[in-house]
Amino acid sequence: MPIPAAASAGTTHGAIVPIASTLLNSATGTVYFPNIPQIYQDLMVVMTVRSDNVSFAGQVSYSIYLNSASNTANFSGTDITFTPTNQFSSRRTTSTPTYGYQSSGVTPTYASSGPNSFAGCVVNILNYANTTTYKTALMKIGGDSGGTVSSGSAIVAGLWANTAAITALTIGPYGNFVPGTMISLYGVRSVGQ
Amino acid sequence: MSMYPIASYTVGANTSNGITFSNIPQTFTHLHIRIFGRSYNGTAGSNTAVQYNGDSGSNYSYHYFGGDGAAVFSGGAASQTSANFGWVAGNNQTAGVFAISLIDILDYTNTNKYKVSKAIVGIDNNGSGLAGQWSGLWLNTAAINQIFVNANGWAQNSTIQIYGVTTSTIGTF
Repeated sequence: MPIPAAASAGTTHGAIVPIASTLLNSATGTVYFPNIPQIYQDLMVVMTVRSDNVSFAGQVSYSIYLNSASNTANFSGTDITFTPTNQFSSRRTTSTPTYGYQSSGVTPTYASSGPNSFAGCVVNILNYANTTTYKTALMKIGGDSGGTVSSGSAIVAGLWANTAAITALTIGPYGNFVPGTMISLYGVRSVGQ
Repeated sequence: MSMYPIASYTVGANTSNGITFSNIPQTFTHLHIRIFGRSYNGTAGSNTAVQYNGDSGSNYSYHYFGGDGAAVFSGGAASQTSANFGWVAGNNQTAGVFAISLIDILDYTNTNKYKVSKAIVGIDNNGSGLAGQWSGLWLNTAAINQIFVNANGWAQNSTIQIYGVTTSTIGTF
């Protein structure tokens, strides 16, 4: 496939388009992005996040419910996770759908680290408006709280076994997001979009 | 840093052929490639092989780490006829399941460096899956002007998007 000579920075639009963003000023269970435009190739969610969860020593798992918060069926995920002292891979299947789309990112926890440590997380959801394929997402997440057990990084692949276009996202952790959590949604344009 | 779309390809029907992107603009600093991939002939975890500028010699190497939901693994190989952009879904997986590879090829026009790529990759099939990272090396200092990718045959609805990445905010928004 020859690429047209006109494909240069001076003649094409920037690919990443901001859609919505929220900065939390109080503890919040879930963040909801409705009415997602159907005009982009991919979606990208960029988050600096932290949970008040204290039950998972060092781990905070995020759920991304697609289209509605109550729609938790048909989600599964596979991850590889590294901490300062361990590495492991795990999966979640539709037999445990409560966790939604994908999970098991490693972030500082509210109880075990100082008040200013947040995790960085980027989720890419490709072909989100396609109505033929299932929806796959890929998450990269990393958090550090001074090299303690609640530091680590992970890559997570998630599947929503549904061909419907994604029109909304609900994002939530175990527990609540703490104030200062910021979640931004972007569209990724392709050629001609 | 800004990113601009320069090529898009959607596989219209299952094919045993690879896809070649030629005339890649030399005006960007880096390339970013986004693959939504499934193999027509291969099983899950088939590799996405890549060659640059038509070079099919043993001038590539790669390594990777990953997890399959149960174990962590790593590996690599030298003197290969292609590098790799990671894994794709396979024809033994549920219809509709595709893998994601997010690839960066840095300094692709520099004629003083070998060319290295980095890919974050993931696929899930409800009970099986892979997540990990690959790097690939082309032992050649030539600027990259052509990219050939294959996954043991591309399945229908696989998509490949190529972007140019600049180091300044030039261009039209």
